[in-house]
Amino acid sequence: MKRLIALILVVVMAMSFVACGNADKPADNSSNTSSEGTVDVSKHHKIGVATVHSGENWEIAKTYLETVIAPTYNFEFVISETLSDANGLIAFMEQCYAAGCDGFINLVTSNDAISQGAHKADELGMWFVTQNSAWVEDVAELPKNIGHCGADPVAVGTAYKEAFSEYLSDGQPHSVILFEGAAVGGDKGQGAASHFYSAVGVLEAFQEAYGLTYDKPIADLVNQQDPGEVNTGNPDVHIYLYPGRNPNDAVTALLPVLQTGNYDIFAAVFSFAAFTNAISDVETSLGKDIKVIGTAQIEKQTKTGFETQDPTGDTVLNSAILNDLSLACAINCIELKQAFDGHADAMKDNGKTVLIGVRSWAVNGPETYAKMEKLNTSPELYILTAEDLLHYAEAGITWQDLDNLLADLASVDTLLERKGLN
Amino acid sequence: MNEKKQVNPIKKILESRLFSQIMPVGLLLLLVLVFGIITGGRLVSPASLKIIILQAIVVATVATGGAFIFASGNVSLSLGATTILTATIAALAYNATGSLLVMIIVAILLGVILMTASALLSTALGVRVMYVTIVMMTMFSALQQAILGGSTVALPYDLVQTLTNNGFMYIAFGIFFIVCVILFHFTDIGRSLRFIGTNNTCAEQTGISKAKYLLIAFIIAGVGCGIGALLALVRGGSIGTSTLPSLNMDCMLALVLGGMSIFGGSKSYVYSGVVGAITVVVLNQGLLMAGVDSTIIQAIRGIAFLALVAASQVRPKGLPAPEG
Repeated sequence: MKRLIALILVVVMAMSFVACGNADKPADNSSNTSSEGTVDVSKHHKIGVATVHSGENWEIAKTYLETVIAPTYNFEFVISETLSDANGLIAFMEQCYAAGCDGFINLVTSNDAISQGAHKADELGMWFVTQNSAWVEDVAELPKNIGHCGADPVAVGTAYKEAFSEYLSDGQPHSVILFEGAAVGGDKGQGAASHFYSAVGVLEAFQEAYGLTYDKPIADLVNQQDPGEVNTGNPDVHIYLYPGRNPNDAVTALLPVLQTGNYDIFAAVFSFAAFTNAISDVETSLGKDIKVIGTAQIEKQTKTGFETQDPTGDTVLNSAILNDLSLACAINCIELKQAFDGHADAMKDNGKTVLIGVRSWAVNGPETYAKMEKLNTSPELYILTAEDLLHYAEAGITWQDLDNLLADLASVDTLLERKGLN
Repeated sequence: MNEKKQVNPIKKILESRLFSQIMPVGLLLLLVLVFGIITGGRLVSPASLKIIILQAIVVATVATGGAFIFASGNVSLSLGATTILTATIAALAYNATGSLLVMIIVAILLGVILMTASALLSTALGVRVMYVTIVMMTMFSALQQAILGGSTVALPYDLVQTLTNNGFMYIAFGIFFIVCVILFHFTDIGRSLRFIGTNNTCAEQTGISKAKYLLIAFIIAGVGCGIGALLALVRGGSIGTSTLPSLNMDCMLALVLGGMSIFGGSKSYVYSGVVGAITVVVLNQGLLMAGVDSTIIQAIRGIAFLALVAASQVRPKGLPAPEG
């Protein structure tokens, strides 16, 4: 009997959740128009979003999707659990199709997932955009595949190069351990392109600063599967590369390397926070400051990194290469809106998809970060506001306009100025 | 002195074989009905039903093979890793030869070989199946990592599309399922495995060789892994180290939700994996189509599964506790 009661309670609870889910009916936004009054938002669209993200940064992006973009474009989002592969993506796309979605934003970034997803979208008749950093050629001409938008991998590399050049310009020999994440194969669509170019940026910065003569081309060094020291040709400059997708494994493996005392800079292309405790322990035992540079997002973890002191009195995080998911989501939605309104071709280059790159911002020090962290905290402080979204949904806007917009936003100063935060 | 012991009729119904057979199917039909109404019939449209079946097919296939192992009272934790490693090598075999036949043969043979290795290690070393399969799971995952590194192996989309449109998945699953039903419910193999699961000692005393039937169970499960690998390849078009990360747990969950006792034995049914896999998909898809947030879907699913497992998994009184 108790088991029957338990079953009944579960069904009742599920039904009440379902009722909660149905409470949010799409708003009637037919009165939303751009300043020129040319954007029709009277038609409701349901958009599937397959995400690989979780955590605070993704929650910020979700809030932006649901509270700013949804009412502006009369969209409704069906957001997935955290997915990891093509199988999960395809299954979720089918579920979204059954749920009535006519557009899809894919954040599952492996090339095979994008390729299979684009084909599936074409088969189901859903408009399809991908948030990633690499262009996938084999599906570039599929009619329903609109394009890609994500962190511009070359710009991420440039940001790393700039950040490192600043540290290396003091005339002293410096050495770095680089956790390069999924860099291996990133130039061939197998790993993460942004990780690949981040590592390339670091190696180029060292090469230019010290005139290093690597024993292999930089791309080959980054594509090495095994962790190890790079032959720099300079006994005072050490570079240790650690490829791997699991930060916890990397911490265990890199702790003894840090303990050698040969390295005074640590860089992580993602999850810098996973390493900070280990680095603090090493700083305490060696009595030496280790600078930390990492790819990060505008979120509490980054703020904590910039505001917390390490055992040597320096900040835990010294420089951050910042990415913003919300901005990429906005561009994805603009592309979808253009496609719904019959302008998919304007989002393509001669019928082929294009990669529109969101430029990363190199932030050196807590003062600049204190200004950057105000972004995304209110509707008017999102990088693209409802008004911007309507403007870029107008007829006549092309992918070049979106790319130009992102190029304009590449500078931290310009961005802060635009949002009145400088 | 000869007074008859009072039996609670509801308890009697709950513990009856018929109830354990009907309950999972009834629950599935109830879910279909409830979500069919909530979604205004969209859940039960032909297109939606096709999607549900396609989404359940990989788990259903691997779980159907796994049912033979579970029926004997053993738990295999390497079904998922075996399937993924098999899929990886089968895809590489296709890319090397361009032959669909080679891919199918490699997948089924390799699935059988890998699962047989687990069974032989267990019987030869006298170590419980669960412990051996934990080791095998780790080994197979490491092997796949070594083969692929950070990359993935993909099949040409044309091949995937052709196999999907030609009903390859339905045919492969259908043949395997029918063979499994016959073996499990109409031959000595199924009866012996259920007997071993009910009471290992009694089974051996009546001349049933546990080692022999365990090996047979693993071979059948291996065929399931091989066919599951092919279906996973056709479904996703590619295989990487992050493909189907929870396949093993999904199979176990499907079996339990489908009415299979976690202790194996007489209340084991080969269709449990299919019913359970479809139940999971219907719950997911129904909630999604009803507009429930993905985080809430996870919570509902977790609570529902916990309650269902608690409701259906009580070891019958009088059976000895399983060893280990």
